[in-house]
Amino acid sequence: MKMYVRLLSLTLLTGLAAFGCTGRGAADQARLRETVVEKLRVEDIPNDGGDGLMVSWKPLPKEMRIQEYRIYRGIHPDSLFFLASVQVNVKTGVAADTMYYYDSGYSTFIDIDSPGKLKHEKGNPGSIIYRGVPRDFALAARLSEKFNLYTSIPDKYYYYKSRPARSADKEDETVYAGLKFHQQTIMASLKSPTPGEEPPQYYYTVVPVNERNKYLGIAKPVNGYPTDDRPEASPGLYCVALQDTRKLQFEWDYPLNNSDFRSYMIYALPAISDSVWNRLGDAERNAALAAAIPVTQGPVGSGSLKNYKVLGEGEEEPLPPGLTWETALTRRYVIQFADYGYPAPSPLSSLASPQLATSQNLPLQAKYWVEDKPWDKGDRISVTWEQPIVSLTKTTTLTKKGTILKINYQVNKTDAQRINNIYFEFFEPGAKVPFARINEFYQDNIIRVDIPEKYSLRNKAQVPSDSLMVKMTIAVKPYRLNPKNGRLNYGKTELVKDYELVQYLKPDPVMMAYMPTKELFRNGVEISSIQNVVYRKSYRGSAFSLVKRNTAFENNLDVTVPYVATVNQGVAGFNFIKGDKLYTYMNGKRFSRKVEPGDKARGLVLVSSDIDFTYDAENKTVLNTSIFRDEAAQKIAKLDKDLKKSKDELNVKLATLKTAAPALLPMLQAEIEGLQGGIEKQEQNIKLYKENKTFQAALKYGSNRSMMRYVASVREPEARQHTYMVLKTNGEGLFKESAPDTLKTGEYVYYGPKSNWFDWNKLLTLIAVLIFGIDVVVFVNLAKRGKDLYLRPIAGLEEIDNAIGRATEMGRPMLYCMGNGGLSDVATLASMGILQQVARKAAEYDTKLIVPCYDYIVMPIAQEIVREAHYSVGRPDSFDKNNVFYLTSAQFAYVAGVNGIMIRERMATNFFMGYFAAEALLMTETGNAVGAVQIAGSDAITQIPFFITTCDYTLIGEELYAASAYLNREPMLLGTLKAQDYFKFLILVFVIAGALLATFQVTGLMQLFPLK
Amino acid sequence: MKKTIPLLIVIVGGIIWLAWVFVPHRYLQDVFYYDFYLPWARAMAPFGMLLGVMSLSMMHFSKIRRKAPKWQYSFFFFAGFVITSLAGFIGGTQKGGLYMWLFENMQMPMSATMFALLAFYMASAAYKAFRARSPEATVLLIAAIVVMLAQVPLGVKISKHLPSISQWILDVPNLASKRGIMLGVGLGSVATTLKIMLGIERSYLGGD
Repeated sequence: MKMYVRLLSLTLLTGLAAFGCTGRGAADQARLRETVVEKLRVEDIPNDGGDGLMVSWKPLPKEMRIQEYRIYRGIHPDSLFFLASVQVNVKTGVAADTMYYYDSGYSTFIDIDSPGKLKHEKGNPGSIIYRGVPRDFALAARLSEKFNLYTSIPDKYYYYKSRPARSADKEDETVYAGLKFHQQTIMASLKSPTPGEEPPQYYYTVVPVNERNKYLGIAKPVNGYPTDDRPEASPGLYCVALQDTRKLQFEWDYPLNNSDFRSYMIYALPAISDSVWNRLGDAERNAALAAAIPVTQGPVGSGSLKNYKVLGEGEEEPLPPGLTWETALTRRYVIQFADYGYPAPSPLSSLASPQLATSQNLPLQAKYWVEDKPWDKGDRISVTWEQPIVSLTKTTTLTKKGTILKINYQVNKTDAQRINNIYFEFFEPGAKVPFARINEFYQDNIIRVDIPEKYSLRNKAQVPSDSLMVKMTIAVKPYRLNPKNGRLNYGKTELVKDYELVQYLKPDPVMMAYMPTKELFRNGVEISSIQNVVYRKSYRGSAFSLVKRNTAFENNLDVTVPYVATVNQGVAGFNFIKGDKLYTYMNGKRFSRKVEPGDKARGLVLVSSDIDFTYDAENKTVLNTSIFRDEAAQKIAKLDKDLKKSKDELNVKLATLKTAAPALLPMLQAEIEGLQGGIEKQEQNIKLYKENKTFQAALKYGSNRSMMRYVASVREPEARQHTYMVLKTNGEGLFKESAPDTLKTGEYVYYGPKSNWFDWNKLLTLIAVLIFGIDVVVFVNLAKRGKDLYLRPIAGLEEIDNAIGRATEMGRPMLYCMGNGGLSDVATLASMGILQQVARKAAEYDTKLIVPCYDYIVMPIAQEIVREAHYSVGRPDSFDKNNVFYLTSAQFAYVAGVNGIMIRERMATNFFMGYFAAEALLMTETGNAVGAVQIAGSDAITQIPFFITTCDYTLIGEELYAASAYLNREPMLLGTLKAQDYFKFLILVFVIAGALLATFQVTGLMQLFPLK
Repeated sequence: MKKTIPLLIVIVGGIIWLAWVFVPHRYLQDVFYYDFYLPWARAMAPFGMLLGVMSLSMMHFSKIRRKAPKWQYSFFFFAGFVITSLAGFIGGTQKGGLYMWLFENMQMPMSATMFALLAFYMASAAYKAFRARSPEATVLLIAAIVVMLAQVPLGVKISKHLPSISQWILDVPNLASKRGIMLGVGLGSVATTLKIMLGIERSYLGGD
C-alpha cells in the first residue's frame, strides 16, 4: 500500500479514536460520578426583603480541575432546573473553605434560549437535573405557583403581536394580552411565605464540572425558603440646626439592604447621653419612644428617594407640635425604617445631636442647567452645575536640580463647554505675588513650571516643608444651544468672573515629590468634601429620585434616558390546550373549560392588556388604555358599570342602615362613607376619561395597529420627560438644594432628549469631504477632456509587466495574495483593481495565476474578477475556477497554506496586495527563498518595512490605491489621483498654518478641527 | 442590468453609510444599524462561509480527480475537515470537548510554531536591510542599532543618552514618516470610496 494511503488511514484512525475515546476508563468515570460537593446548605439571606436564599458548599480540591459549579433549582427534589453557574479558575481552584451563591432578586425563568422541551442535563440522562425551565406551558404554569413572575416584552411585540385571550375561568371577563414564549423574557423571584400558609420550599443542588466538561456527581438536594427579615437600622443620622433661619436639617444613610424599604420616621427623644442609649437593648429603646415626639416621616422608595429633610419656617413642614425651636436644640433624634413586608420597623438608629450652624456654613446653592446632549441619537441629557473644574493630579521633577516641575492636571467639563485658556499662578507660602504664571492656551493636561531653587526637593541643604499655592482661573467661550437644530453657537472668550480655584502642592520628602493636596478651594471655600447629588422626577411621577452622587471634582452628569424598548408586565397566568380542553393557571389556581371556536391552539402567557397611556397633568392622574381597540372603546362603559355597581351597593347599605341594630350602626356608617368616597372618585375618573382629548383621539383610530401607533407616540416620549435638581451636601446634614426649576406658574420644567439630525462637530469633516468630492469631479472632467495629467512613475507598478513576463518565460505560475482584510477594507478593494490587471496579463500570456483567499466573501468576487479578465482577452478556456479558492481565515494556517503552495508550485512571481499583519514576513521570506520576483503593496504601516526588505518592489500606502488607476490609465481614474494630490497640498497648508499660529498662541484654527 | 443593479446597491449603500457617519439620529444609529444591518450581516455570513467551504472542497476534489502533483495531501484536508466538523457538531464547541481539544492541542501549537518562526525571519530580514550598501541603508543601520540598544540594559550602560535618542528617533522622524503615510492612506481610502460610490471604480464587480 502506498505510504500516502497509510498516512491518511492513520490520521483518520487517530481522529476517530480520539473522537470515540475522549473519556477516561469506566472506573474513572464511575469515580467522578461519585464525587459530589460536601456541606451543601441553603439558608435565608439575612436582612433582605424576603426573596433571597443563600446556597453554600465546600469546593472540591484543585486537583479535581473544576472549571465551574452549576447550580440547579426546583420546587421538588426530583426535578431541578439549571439556574446559574459559578466559574472557577481550573489551575488555582478555590482557596476558600466555602463557596456561596445568592439566589436573590429576579433571574431568568424562560426566554428564547430556554430548551424547547424538557431535556436532561448533558451526560445526565435519567437524573434529577434538567437544562433549564423549558418552553412548556403546562410545566411553566405549574412552576409559576411558587414564584413571582414578571415579563419583559419588546414593545413592538406587546403593541402589535399580542392576541386578546380570556381565562378558562368563566367568572373572569378580563381580556388579557396573550404572548408566546419566544416573544418575551420571563423573570422569576422567590416567594416569601404568606402568613398562615405552608412556606414554599425551594430545592437546590450543585454539580461540579471539570475541565474536560464532564459532570461530576449530583449532590443530594437541600431545601429552604426565604423569610422576610426585619429592616436594619440606619448606619447614621445627622442633624444640623441652622440658628439664623431656625431650621432643622436631617440627613441619613441607608443600610446596604434597602431594596424593600418603604418609609422612614424620625423621632425627637428627650436629652439622653450616647453612652446610655448605646447600652439600651432594642425593647428598652422602643419603650423610650413613648416619651418621644414624632418629628417627620416620608417615603423611602427602596432607598432611591431623598435621604434628607428640612423642617422649619418657610419649609414644606414646620417643626412638629410639641417641639419649639429651643426644645428642639436640646433633643436627641433617631430614625427608623419600615419595609413592605415585615410587620415591625427597623431598630432605632444611634442618637443624633443637633449640630449648631448658620446658613453661611451651608454649601453654595447649585446653579445648574439642563440641556439636551448635543450631537447624539437622543438618549442623553446633560446636567451641568458648574463651570469647568481644573485640578492638579500629579507632579514630576524633571531636572537634576529639581527646579522644573512637570505637573499633570485634569479638566472636568461637558462636551459643549470650551475652555480657551487656563491660567496657573504659583505662589510661595505667604506671598501675594506669584513667582510663576502659565497661560495654558492649549490644554494637553501637562504644564511645566520653574520653581525657585530653595523649593527644590533635591536641595540637600534644606528640604522645603511649606506647600506651594496654585491658583487657577479660566477663560471660556460662552455658548448657546440652538434647540431647533442642536447647534452650539459660541461667543467671545471671556474670563469667568468670581471663579478662582486654589490647590496646594505639598512637599513629600519620602516620595521626593510635590503632592497635590486633596483639598480644592473655590473662592476661598473648601469644596472637595461636597458631593453634588443629582435627583430627577419623571413627568408622570410624584417624587424626586436619586440619579447619581458626584464628587466635588465633577461639574456635570450625562444622564442616560433610553428609548422605550420593552414593556414590563406581571405575568397574570398561562393558557394552554390539552385534548379538547383549555386550561388556565392563574394565581395558583387551575381552571378548565371546553375549547371554543376562537381559542388559539397554542399556549399563551397572559399579561394585562392595560397599559399606561397618558398623563393628565391637571388632575395628576395617569390614564390607562387597553392595547385592543375594542376593549379600549369600552373603557368608559366599563367604568360606568363599576359605578352603577357601587351605587347599587350603596343603596343596599343605606337600606340596611334604616333597619340595622344600633350596635352595627357605626360600622355601617363607616362603610357607607367609604363607598360614597369611592363613588365620588369613580365619577371623577369617568369625567376624566370622557374629557381627555388624547384618550378620545386614540379611540378614533380604526384598527389595533393604528391606535397603538398613536398610543406609543404619546406614552413613550412622555415616559422620557424628567425634571432635575442638584443637591450640594457634605453628607452629614450640611446641604443645600438647588432652586426648583419651575415656570412662573409654579409647574416644573421637564426635559426630554432629542435625536439630532446632524453632528455639528463633524461639520468641517463634511466640508472637507465635499471639497474633495468637487476636486475629484473637476479633475475627472479635465482628464476626460484630454488634459494630460502627469503621474510620477511608480517602480512597483512599472515592473508588473516584467514580473508577469518572467513567469511566462519560466513556465511557472504566479501567486496573488489579497491579504487578510475583508471586503470592508479599502486595501482589499484596491487590491481587486490590481488583480484585474494582473489577471488580464496572465490570461493573455497564458500564465497560471493562483489566488488563495483569506476571506470567504472576497473569494467569489476574486473568482469573478479573474474569470472576467480571461473572457475580456478572449481566453475563457484557460480560466480554471479552482485556481482562485478560499484557503482559511486562521492567520497562521493561511501562512502555512500559502507557503506550501509557493514551495510546491515553485512560484516565479508573487504579488502581495492588500492588508497584511504578522503573516507578511513569513510569506515574503518564503517567496524570497524560492527565488520568486515579489511585488508587494499595503497600507499596513507596521508591515511596510518587512515588505521593503524582502520584496523586490513595494507600493507604500496610497500607492496601492493609485495602482488601479496607474495601470488602467483611464482618465476618470487618473483624475481622482490628481485630486488626491491637490487635496494633500491643501492639508499641508493647514498643518503648517496651524502650527505657526499655535506657536503664537492663536488657537482658533486648531480648535476649528475636531479631535475625533 | 447585470451590473447596474449591484452598482445601484453599492451607491445607495455608500450614501447611507456616509450619512451614518454624520447623522447621529436614532433612525440611522439604531433602526438602520442595529435593527436592520446587523441582523442581515449576521444572516449572510454563514452563506459566505458555505461558499468558501465549497470552493476549498472543490479545489481539493479537483486535485484528487486530476491527480495533480501532491494530490494525496488533499485527503488530509478532507480528513481534518470531517473530523473537526463532527467534533464540533456532535460534541459541541465548549471547553472540554474534542473540538476545543483539537483547537488547543493542534491548531494553537501549530499557529504558535508559525508565529515563532517570525523571529528568525525577522533576523534574516534585518540582515538584508541593515547591510550598509548605500548612505540610506547606513542611516537605517545606525538608527536600528540605537533603538535596539536602548531597549536593553546594556544600552544605558553604554550611554545614558541612548534611551532619549532612541525615543527621539521614534517620536520625531519615525512618527513624521508614519503620519505622512497615514495621511496618504486616509486620503487614498476616501478617494477609493468616492470612486466606488461614483461608479468610477468597478473592479469589485468582477470587471469593468
